[in-house]
Amino acid sequence: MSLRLAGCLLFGLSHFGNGEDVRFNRDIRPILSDNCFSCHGPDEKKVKAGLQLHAPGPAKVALGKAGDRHAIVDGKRQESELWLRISANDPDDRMPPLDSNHRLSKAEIELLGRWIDEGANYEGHWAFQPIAAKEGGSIDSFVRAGLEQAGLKPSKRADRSTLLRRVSQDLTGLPPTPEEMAAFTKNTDSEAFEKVVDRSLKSPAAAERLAVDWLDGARYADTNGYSIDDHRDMWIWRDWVIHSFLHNKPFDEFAVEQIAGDLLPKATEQQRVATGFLRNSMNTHEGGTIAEEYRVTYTADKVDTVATVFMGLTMKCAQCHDHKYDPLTQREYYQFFAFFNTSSEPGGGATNANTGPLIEASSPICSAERVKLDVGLRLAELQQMRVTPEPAMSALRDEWERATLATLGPITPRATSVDLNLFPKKKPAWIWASADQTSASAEFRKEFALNSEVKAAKLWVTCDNECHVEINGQAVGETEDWTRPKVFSVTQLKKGTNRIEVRGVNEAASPAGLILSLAIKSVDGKISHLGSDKSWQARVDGKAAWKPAAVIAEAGRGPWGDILAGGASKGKGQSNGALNLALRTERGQRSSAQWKTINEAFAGKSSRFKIYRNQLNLEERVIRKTAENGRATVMVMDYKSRKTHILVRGAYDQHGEEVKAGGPAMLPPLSGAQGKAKTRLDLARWLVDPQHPLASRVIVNRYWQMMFGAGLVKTAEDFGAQGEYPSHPELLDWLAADFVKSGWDLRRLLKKMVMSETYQQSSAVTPELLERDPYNRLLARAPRYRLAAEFVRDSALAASGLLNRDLGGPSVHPYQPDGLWAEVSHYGYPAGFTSQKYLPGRGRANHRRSIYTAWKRTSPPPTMAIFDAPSREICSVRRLNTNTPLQALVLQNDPQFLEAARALGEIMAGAGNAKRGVALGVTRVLGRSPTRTELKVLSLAHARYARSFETRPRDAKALLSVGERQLAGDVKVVDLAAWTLVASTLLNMDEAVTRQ
Amino acid sequence: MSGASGHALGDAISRRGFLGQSGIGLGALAATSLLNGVARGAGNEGRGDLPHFIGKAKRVIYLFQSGGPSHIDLFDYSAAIGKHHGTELPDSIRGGQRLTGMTSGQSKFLVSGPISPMKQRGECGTWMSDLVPHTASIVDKITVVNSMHTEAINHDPGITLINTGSQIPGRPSVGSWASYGLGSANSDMPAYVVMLSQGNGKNPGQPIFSRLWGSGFLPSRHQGVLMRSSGDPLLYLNDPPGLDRATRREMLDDLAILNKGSYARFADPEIETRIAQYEMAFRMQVAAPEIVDLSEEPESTFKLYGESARQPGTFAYNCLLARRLAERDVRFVQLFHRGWDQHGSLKSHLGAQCKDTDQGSAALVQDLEQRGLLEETLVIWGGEFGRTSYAQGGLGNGRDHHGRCFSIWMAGGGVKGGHVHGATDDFCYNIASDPVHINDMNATILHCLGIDHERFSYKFQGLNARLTGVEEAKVVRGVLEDGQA
Repeated sequence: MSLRLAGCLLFGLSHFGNGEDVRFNRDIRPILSDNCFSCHGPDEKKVKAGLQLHAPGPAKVALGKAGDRHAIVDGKRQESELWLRISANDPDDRMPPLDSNHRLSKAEIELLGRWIDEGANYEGHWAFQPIAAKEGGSIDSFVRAGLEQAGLKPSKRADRSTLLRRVSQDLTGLPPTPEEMAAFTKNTDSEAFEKVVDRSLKSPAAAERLAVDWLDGARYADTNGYSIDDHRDMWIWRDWVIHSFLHNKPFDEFAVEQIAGDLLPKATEQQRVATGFLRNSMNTHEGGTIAEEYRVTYTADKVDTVATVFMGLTMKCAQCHDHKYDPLTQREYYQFFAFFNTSSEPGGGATNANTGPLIEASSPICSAERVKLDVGLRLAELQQMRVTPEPAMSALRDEWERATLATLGPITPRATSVDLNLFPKKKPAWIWASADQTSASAEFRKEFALNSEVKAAKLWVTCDNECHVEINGQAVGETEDWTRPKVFSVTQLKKGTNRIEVRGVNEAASPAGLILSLAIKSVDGKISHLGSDKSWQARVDGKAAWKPAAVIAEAGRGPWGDILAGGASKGKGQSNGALNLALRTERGQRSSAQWKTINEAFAGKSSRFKIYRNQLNLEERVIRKTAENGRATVMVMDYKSRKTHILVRGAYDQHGEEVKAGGPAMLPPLSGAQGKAKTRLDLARWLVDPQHPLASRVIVNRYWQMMFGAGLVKTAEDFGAQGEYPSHPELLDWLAADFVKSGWDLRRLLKKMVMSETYQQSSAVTPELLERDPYNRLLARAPRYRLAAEFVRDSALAASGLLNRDLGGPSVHPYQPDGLWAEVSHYGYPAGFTSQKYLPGRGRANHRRSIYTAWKRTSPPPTMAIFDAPSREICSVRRLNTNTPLQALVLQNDPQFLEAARALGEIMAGAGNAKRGVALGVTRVLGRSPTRTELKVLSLAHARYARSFETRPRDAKALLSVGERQLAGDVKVVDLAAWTLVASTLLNMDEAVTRQ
Repeated sequence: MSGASGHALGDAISRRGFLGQSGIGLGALAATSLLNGVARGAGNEGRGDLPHFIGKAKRVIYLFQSGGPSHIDLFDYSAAIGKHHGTELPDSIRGGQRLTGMTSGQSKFLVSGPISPMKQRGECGTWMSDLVPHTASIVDKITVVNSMHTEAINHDPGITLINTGSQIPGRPSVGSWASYGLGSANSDMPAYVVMLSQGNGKNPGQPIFSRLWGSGFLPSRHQGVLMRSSGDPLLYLNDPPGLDRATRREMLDDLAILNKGSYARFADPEIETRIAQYEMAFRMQVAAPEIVDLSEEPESTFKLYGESARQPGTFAYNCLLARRLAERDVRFVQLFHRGWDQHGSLKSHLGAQCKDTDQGSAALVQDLEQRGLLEETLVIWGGEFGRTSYAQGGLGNGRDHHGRCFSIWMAGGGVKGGHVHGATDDFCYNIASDPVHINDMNATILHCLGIDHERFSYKFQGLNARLTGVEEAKVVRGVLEDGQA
């Protein structure tokens, strides 16, 4: 909304009319765009009555059969059809039509009339006009001019502690440390604030803070998105972003490298890494996907992202038809699309991994040693989860251990391995419970007698998809991949009657079958065989009656080919002895091999555990290489020649005319090398050309949004005709021009903003201001708003002294309620996908900054989502800011915040007395000294809680048990519990989560 | 981006946007009323201009069946299909349809009739399979729509389309539109509650995503809130161990005093809102456990819903909770039940899926009726697409995805009982009459709630974005009690 219109709403229409001209861009275009352009705008296919109002040419042509009428007659509203129709009394004549759901207000009709009377002057859309910066001026002079016009005055300067906390939150996403506060309070010279700003801007914390917003726009995540949403590695790109901010890389370079780093002359590894920006698109490998359809989708996503992030344009509106509001044709869309359509990226994404083109690279900010250390710790965590799985799983296994031990009896010696001919002359057959093979699972059994003791035995087996084998009630082993038969040493046989049982599973909708051969050598040296055939009994799904097994195919025949010829991998059989010994060993004494034996055996019994164990295996597999070399792969851009066609109605397979890469006509010409096709590099350089009207405006606007809560153009994502007119257009242009002139120096830009008096005003509101400017568009006060999700959490960690300041590296897995990933994902699917179950970290990971939290797009970190973070499925450059009961529950009950409260409680408890404790807590959380009320309320609360816990010390202990962090041994439980509640109250205060 | 550019005031702004458009004089826009709007936001009172008219339904219970239930085996009867069983599906029927990569390589497309007998049921004579005997017993209370269609052929785009009106991620879900438009009618619970369950047919079923109940570009407080069967019923609901309710109350009272201190200094209305939100959180801590406490439910309840309704996390249990949420006036309750993707093992898997869902679904309708809630509660049962009438793999083995036609059923909230809407051809493959696009169905859901889908938009990226998209969508009058036949 323009200042003028805002003023209109605030002060009543009378303000309009005296003197000032009506201006097309500010006053008229928004009305026409909103209400008329859908039928009378730039989309030629939708034009009604031959009238287009978006440009003076078509708007003023002769209309009607006789050509004697005109929509607009300059200076004469009564002769202008436009005016006659919008002011008509007859609903049938009136525009917009009743059924369009558009309605013009009286004020809007009058404005249009005045505009015609004043000559109906058109202006090109403001954002597409060259940047016109006034000489001189400052942020404050432009803002004051607006205030004067509205008859408002700026607010007084905020007090020093508020200012320190505000600038610290805005620039670093963290509250000031007590030391910083003390130093700032002492140093009262005029440059003290500037020193704080300079120091903050250069800090690693600032680089992380700036990166958070960039990740939203770049739709960064640690998973591939879409339905399977499995693991990918893009954190090296994230580190590249942090590194760029840390070194204040000129923003034009920052942009060019991300769009076309691979095409720069002698591109470095890091410049190629930068193009990961484009590759952060989601990709899919859902079964049945049509690859080309998705390849087009990924390309369109790149167009959308670049257009939104660098130009504030909603280009995707022109994917299926000409843009309805902005002068952008469908052809131009595909010309732009062509820049990104030349890459070898396929439509079908890789499984559990990055999809090509990709490179292996190093983090620019995190040494290989630290990466190895971090990933090594993660591997250790995953390993630990095998010994101590999640509680529900542990309980299951405990029960099984007890039951199994009871049946095992004494330990028998391990059998010696004997070379046996695995197959009888008559080869075994593929069998299943039914000839149609449709059942998901089948059980098989056979009883057989042995006349003498067994010296050795081996089992060769495979099953499509997988099976578990037991002999005489004891697990022998299991197969997982039917193409790889396994051979197990068998120790469970005995003289007399023996029973072999197999449970086969066929999870995919494909043929099922089991084939096995048991070779037995008796103590007298004779070899006998037992093969799968129709003499076996089988039943479906564990409940039907037993009946003879159906022979599906002879060995070497049927759908499976000659699997006998392929050899076999050596299966790890369960010797009764090994399991027995492992189970008899004390938990704390068991070797990792013994745990493995136990887990393998339990996995054979419990499908829940098997799924869990398989997940651990997969998660280990995708990070093992990084643990070895400290590097990781990154998806990047490359060049592969490909023709681009206009896609009719945006459909991937409806090729229209071929187009070449190029820029839209409404913007300055995009030129390439003489006689060569234009490339992404040409595009990137064009975007940051000083003549380009959009990039610099869009970028400075977003940093204004970051420092002031709302952009000068509030619709940061849309600078087109449907976006909001800037509240301070001259200021926006001045900032943009200055930014470009400074060499796209981001630090300088941010400093300029925070050093302004406008920024440093108090954010206190008066009823008058609230009434006259409820949205604070005029900036007669500093804005006051809740911190972004990441900084709510980071600030609590910082205030409690828990924050781990490690910079960069792979993503981490802090606290998250159980089951959130598993309940929506493919968890348990036999093919095995990563990132299907959240496996929370168990230590330092809980205290890293939130930017490093593992991000799964189909189930984003819950506390981030509750505090308005987007899902990162698509580009987003503006978060809404809501205030909900779920947020209250997070701050009160999330173990993350309770643990922080405990840690803060420890600090407060150490202050000596209650008042000092409260003061310390308030200082750390709110960045200021406590008020008298706060001191009183909170010290009384502490005393009250302490008295209460005195009578129920167990509750105190329970409260302190929340969180992974160990409690110090010598702690006074009751006192600390009381302080924990006081600290929690502080962390829940509105001010604690607010930038003010 | 982080920042407050879309302050909670954003709701009020869009409200003003609407008022501006609707030609209401500026006098009505006294700034104080805008600010009241903000303060009222604490209770989520919805958009001031809604409903557009008095809808029959006050709320919706959407029993979403994820994976694509087989319409041909359950609801869509064809007298002729039996004689084509085992024969090649005529090219004229398939008509160059785009197939998923899973069957596009198949050499044969054999027509495969329903796996279980279908019969006419109830007084109305609606056809229904033996696989769903309980649903068959309530046919006189429901409308079956056999002519649903969608352009999507895979799960991710399909399920995203039906739940958000677009195949491309990023748009608000149906439930979040309802929350945004109508707000909550209950001051202790969110307006939009979601519950998940996994079927026994295909386990795990196709994944689902938080975007299906996400708020897209609407303020995130309209996103569906997960009601969970293990752990806290709502995320972070339970106070930590050792903290009793009396102490929590004391903490909140202290917190309110401290926050009022901030208000005295800054006069920011958001502070008052936050105080109110903490109070609502406190009430939710009582209300949500009450909803999942089934101890007062009589035996007859479990007779109706089945024994599995006692077990948290089952579909029947979630149906029972849906009734309890409806009793408490929760605006939009959505169940997501996974496992309907029968590419193979059709007989056993489809049977298992029906066993999971049939009794609970039918019980919910009966239960709502007994309690006098059915008239004002719209119940919908259905998935993102149907399945091919040709076999995937061998005859009877399985079926691929099919978007050209599929079936759903709906009940209550102004929808006819004992009615069938739309028809398909002999092969249950193409729509023969009264097609209903997903957007038409969403328009109908909004209509039942008293919302004109064409006038219900939210300005995003320059467009007046609607749930029902840019192509024309129509309310399906034929399924409405007061619509034409």
